[in-house]
Amino acid sequence: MASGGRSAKLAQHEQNKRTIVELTAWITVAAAMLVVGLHAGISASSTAADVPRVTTAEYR
Amino acid sequence: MIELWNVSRALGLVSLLLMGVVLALGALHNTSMSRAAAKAMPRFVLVALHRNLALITVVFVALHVVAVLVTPYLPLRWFHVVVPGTASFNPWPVGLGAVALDLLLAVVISSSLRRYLSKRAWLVVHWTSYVCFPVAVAHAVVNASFRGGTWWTLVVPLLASALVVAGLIYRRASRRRAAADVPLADRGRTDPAEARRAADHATGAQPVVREMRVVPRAKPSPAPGSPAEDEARTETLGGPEAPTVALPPRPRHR
Repeated sequence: MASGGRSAKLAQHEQNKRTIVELTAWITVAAAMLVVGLHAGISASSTAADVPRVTTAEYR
Repeated sequence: MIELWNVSRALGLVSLLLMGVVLALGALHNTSMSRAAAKAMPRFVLVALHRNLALITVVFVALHVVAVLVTPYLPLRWFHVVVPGTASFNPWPVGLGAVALDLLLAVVISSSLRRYLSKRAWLVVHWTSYVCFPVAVAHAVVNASFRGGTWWTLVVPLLASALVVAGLIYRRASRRRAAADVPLADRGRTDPAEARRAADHATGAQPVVREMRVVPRAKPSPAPGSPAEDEARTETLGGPEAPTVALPPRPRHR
């Protein structure tokens, strides 16, 4: 009975660890997709005023 | 090359959003919301999520910095993004970004070395994330062009700020609800003896008690009716001579 409870607890712990990894992975994928989406949006709506202007002296 | 600049902007915005989520999760730690979530999953899942998201944020910030540095037409060197005020190009936005990066590095490094730091020192450094976030928001807002077509990107710092403010307000309300259980007259008051006991318990210290007991000098009892008994009664009325003896402290039982 005690070993059954222990193995159930271990299985639950493993499940929790999997949950952490999966949640982290999904959030990372969502963030990466958001980067792609934001990049597309910024590229589409960007005008000359959005580009930082650099003087020749600064570039040098 | 313009594309790289746009990529770095997108990476910076997503970093800011992630930072807002991480800060909101941190603010909700130990509140009724986290306790409610802990019923569905253990608390270490929430703590691990907070830590993992913070690490992802660091990765995105690193990518943002690298993208800015490798963009060829931006005259930025590595020390410009670490030391505030050294950049001649866009000094204020770059300086704010450098301050935010330094604070973020301090939080990350202190969390990595947490086992070597006292809890108080770690907490003080960790709380600088509440300074880091507004500085990062200022960096994003100052960098955004209000004349160009990408003004809508300001939605991201607004959303991240709203997340953090909502988390802090909920935390504040949660703490107030907990305090409401204590009667008004007793709020902020502590029984000194209770505080002393709690401090001893917290520090593991055992209070050293030197017991002072009044020990009367033992005298042979005189025979009843004898003059010695009258003398003894007289002496008793005058008060017995009772030397104060300091007893050794009791042995400690742990």
